Amino acid sequence: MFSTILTTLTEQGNGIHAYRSVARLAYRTAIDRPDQAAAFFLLATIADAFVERHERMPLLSKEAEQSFATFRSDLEALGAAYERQDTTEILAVLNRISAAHAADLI
Amino acid sequence: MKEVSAMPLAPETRADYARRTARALLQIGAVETAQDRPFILSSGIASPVYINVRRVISYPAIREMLMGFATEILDAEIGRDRIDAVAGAETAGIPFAAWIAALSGLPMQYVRKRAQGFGPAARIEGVSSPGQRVLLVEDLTTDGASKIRFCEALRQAGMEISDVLMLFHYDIFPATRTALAERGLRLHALANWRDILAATEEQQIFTPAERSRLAAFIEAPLDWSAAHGGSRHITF
Repeated sequence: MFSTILTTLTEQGNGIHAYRSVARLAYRTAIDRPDQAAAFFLLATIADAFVERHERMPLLSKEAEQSFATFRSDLEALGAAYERQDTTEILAVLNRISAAHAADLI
Repeated sequence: MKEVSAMPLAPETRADYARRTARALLQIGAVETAQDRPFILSSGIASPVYINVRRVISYPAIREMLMGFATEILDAEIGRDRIDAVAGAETAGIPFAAWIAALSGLPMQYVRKRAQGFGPAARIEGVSSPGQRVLLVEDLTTDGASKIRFCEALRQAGMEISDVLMLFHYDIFPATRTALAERGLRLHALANWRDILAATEEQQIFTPAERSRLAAFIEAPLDWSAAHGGSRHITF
């Protein structure tokens, strides 16, 4: 499911519309997959924050690439942690990503 | 309220509005050109230019002129008697809707990006009623996706909408007009990128290289985008 999020983002061009679609998909997945809800809810809020921050603003391709790289890295880390089913690692990854994005939003 | 039926503007008058709007947008620094790297539009399309129509609100004389043009276009292309209210799209459409509502004497509402509260009108602020004929007002249209979402919200609330009025329309993506037409929506804009390009040539604004990039983008935006790292198709 984490790969579906990445596919949606890339297929829709990594722009505002793509992040909006990803947010909707991640919220729905959080409902459908309660065992992974925290991860998908976090991804949805990150995607939402991207839309809020950049909508109608002059987004340079360099910034878009940096945001995409960070988002992909977060997705891969979450995907790997859930794959290993290591709850300690899952919690650590969720906390690390949450802290990084909270810092961006202040 | 006085009824004003639609009577088309003379083509030269419409062209004059477009020319003066383009000049005004350039004058207030609304158009930025990318330097090393392009801008990325909402659809992921790479663009050599970015336009911030919101700057208009800070220039009273220009604002007054453009709102006058918008009201003339409302009367000429839509018909004041064919709408019951003007709805601004959150956020950038709200001030322009307010000025057009004031000039036309029409009621005003605004449409939220997200629902607040419950019920079919949870995205509408102001007094609305099913069957009300509404004109959506926006600052600009790039690919039309947000226009579609705002119109869906108005229709969910039972309101009728067939026209969208904006200050600026990119007007370079055929898919936009098709998508909006399929949803029964007509676009009315004061100016587009061709008008801006003409104004930059007339006034020798931007370097020749910048004008050349803008012309190439206008001519084939999806090809330009793909060649500069952006998406090669529009998403809605």
